[in-house]
Amino acid sequence: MSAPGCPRTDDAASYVLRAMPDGEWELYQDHLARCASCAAKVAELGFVSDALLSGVPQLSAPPEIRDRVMAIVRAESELLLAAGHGADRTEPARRSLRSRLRSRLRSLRPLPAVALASVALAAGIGGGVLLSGGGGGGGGFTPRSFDAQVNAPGARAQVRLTSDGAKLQVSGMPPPPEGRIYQVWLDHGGDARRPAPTDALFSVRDGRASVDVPGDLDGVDAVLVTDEPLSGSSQPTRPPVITAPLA
Amino acid sequence: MRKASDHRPTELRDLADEDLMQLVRRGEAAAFEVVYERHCNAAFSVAYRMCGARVAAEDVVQEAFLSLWRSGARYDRTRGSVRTWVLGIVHNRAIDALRRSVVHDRRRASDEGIEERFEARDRTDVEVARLDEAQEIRQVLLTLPPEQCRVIELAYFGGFTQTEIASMLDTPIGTVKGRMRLGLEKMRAQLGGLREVMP
Repeated sequence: MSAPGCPRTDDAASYVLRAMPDGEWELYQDHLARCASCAAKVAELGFVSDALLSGVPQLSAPPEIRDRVMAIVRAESELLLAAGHGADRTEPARRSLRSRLRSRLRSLRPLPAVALASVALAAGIGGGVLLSGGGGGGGGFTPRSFDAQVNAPGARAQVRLTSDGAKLQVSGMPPPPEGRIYQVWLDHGGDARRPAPTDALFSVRDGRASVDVPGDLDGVDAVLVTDEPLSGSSQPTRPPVITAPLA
Repeated sequence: MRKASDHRPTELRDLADEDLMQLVRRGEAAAFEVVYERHCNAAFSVAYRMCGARVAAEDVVQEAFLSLWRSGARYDRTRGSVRTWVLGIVHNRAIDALRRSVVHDRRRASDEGIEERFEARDRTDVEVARLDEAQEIRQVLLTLPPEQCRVIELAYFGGFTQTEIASMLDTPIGTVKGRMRLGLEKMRAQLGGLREVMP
């Protein structure tokens, strides 16, 4: 431990103001663990740096941020809570679950570009698509399932249409790349071939997810999934990783 | 503690931040939403102050709150209030963004212009008290000698390192460090009473 009057005490101000270059900041942090004099100075000046943030002129946050943040939070919350249902977990166990989910999200890797490129937005609707279910007709609603083409090895996806609505179920799916999230789109066909965005954003847990597909599916040719920035997108920024033709 | 889904929204709003964080730690989105509502304006204010551009500030706030949601278990009430923790995360994210040159022009916000466009409305008593407190803090900053105020502003709100500041001001780095320390110590002396009332 350094004696009182450590020559590095001047650095305490740079530390709390984050004025140290990366690398030096971490070194000083190590120093703080051994130097009571500098640690005391950091505690003293840290109060001022906290106060400086409170002294910023107060503005109103645009409501769009809340919408984007809460869409993602709700999606992730569903995953967390669904995983915890029925379990009399202790608090550490819950943290462990959350930690595992977060760890999965952190370890996301982009899908191979070549594999992604093999699925064109406008393609795949007509051919090479596995279809199951079908049916329909008659007076009452007949639940139907449509297998999807998934551009990830070993992954499977299916859209189930029931009287309660449509649900996309995936399994064996890799998490979206870091800093991105899966988004569901509705492809109405036509010349433009531009799918309509939905607010259904999701990630996967243990490769699985069950997502309500929002909106009216009347006239929809296919349900698509792409990975997008965390706030979602108004039009796809990448080719679909899931294409589920509804025919 | 009950799950957030067992609480009415009004009940959640009655909970202290620290109690809400226990629910957030369990993945309760409704509890997180209340935390967001309480601190989003302060968070956006800090981000805007640092980035000087609305879009960049929005990105910083979004990243910060998602980080907060995902790291709720790391909140330690013995180390400060939730508000301080939130603003610290926003500050760190904004510094990272500035140093990644995400905010290329590093424009500094004009306080008058910002307030015209995004000035907070419908203030509660707590918010009014915070406004008074914020005003006092700004006044204390302005009482510093200009050279001390400048290095603090450049570092803390501009995201510049001490090396960059020394170069910008053509001043030895030791002098820059000394000005930072003297400035903060003077502020500490003047804000001493505030420590008792800050949340």
